[in-house]
Amino acid sequence: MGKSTSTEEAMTPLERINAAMDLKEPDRVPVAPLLDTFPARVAGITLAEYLFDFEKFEKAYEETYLKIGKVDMIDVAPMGLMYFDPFPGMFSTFYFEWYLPGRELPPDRMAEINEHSRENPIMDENGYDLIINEGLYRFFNFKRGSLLDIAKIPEFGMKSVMLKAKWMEKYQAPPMLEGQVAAPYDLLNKLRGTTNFLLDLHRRPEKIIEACDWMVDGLIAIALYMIEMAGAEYILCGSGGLSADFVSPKTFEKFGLPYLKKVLHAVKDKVKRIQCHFDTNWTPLLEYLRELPSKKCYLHLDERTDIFKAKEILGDHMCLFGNLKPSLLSFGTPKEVEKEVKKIIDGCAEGGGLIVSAEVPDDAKFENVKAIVDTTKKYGVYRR
Amino acid sequence: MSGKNSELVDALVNLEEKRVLEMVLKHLDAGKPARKILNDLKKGMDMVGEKYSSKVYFLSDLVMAAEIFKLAMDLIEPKLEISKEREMGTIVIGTVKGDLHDIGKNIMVALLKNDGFTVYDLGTDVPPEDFIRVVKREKAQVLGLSGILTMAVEPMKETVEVLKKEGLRNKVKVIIGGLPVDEKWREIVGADAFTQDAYEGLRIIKGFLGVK
Repeated sequence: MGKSTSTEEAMTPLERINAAMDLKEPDRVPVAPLLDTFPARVAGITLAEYLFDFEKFEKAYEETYLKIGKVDMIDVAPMGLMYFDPFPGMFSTFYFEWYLPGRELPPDRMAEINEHSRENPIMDENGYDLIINEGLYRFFNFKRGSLLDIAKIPEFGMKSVMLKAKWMEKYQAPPMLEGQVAAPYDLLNKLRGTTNFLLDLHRRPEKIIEACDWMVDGLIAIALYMIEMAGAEYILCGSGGLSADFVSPKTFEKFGLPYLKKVLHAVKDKVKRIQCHFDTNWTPLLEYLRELPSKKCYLHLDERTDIFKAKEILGDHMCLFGNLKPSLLSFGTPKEVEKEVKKIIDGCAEGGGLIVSAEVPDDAKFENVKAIVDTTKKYGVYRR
Repeated sequence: MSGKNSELVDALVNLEEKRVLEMVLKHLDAGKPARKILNDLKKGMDMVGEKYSSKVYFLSDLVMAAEIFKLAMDLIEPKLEISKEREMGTIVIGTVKGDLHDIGKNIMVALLKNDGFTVYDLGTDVPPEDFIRVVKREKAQVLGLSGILTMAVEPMKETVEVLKKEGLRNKVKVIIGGLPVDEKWREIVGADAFTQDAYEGLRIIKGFLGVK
């Protein structure tokens, strides 16, 4: 990697992202931290405002985007939208017990999901049969959201389509995510609570399979409908509950992989890119991910997965996106961030297929987030 | 390890819930001392731990083993002489304020109980004052603070500060636990140790208390 001297870059963010995801070398390594709610802190607004007030979100996000130095992917809608998803998405407060700022929580406290104790899950062990016989809608409830919240979605959706167009024109940066698709086991995990779900894997594995088989086509239909309605081109598939931090690779192979494959292959031709947002430790499972759609999918990893191993195994299959440790951004220094970014670039940039990223925690230090962007832009230049 | 394991040990190691519980009942009916049954269960749990350390078993297996152990204990506990052979130590543990994650903490609790420690599990979202109140009341030697959100570092730190204010810091060892905790967290919080793994946590706590 060499040093860039010119301030004008050779590629637009979109061209750069496309090259990296197509596993070709762009002008430099793209950088796209997941800013989450960090812009609220930068702009000095509450999390409630940031999540639910589109105009305030837009202003805060753009301010942060310019302050940290333009990054290569961009958020086009506040997270608030996803909490009122009437379909069973991971963030839907109609299915899961999300506590939201300005609602159940003070306006400045981060949204949290109640992962549920053993004794008090949303769904008891008979729930698998309920899902099989009556459908997932059995677990829809209005406890934390209302029809009014759902009614706001079309307006939010329209605004985000417009913002995408506006920012694409202004900054030529593609959106981070416009829609999402879920694998059945992750929803079951959240409904049962993780501990119960892990016990169910031992106690009633056939019920889990039966429920997953039943759910998967419905989830695909929902995803396709949302993609079409929202005109979504960049979507996300989050998964974590069946990683090696929780279960054996054999268990993932049986309860996870078939469904992930089915879901992702079913939507791949309808979208431009899919962020496989796979948290926790996937290192022993990397080989399996070769079965997911090549190039269409890019792989978000957090620090629990060995990104260098991922490069070795998946380097010719999908672009890697990660994997700075969030706590480094909160507690570390710009020097330490710089060192870690360089390490990732040195190990994973060759031949393209790398986007430097991190999930930016709420309390990250501004100079640390800036250090991700500055270091990648300076150090990540590909030699021609 | 040498010699053949009893059937009960094997059943636990293989995570056969029904078989373990049936055998415990059978043994109790046949008049086998509860203490001996307990020893088998402990041996089984130790072996599960070894399998976990060598990555043959994963968290879900650990959760299952802890569950079977708990159910088996419910059966034998009434028949177990209360007199403890030795006092292992008292630990207060919980997930700190603002954080609701508890899987790792629950396994930690199961392992500590399995080894005969007295454990006060305060659950999740525990404010600093609650930790300190129970530490004082029970004269605990160890305080375990769990959390996995980055923002959990603040309440952890706060709890240690309250401990200091109460003049208890040099009497109580503090360990923090959770997937993302590391040396930097430990430093910021002012804890004595950190761990990302319940079995390692158990070793550290035993080290604190000088027990084997």
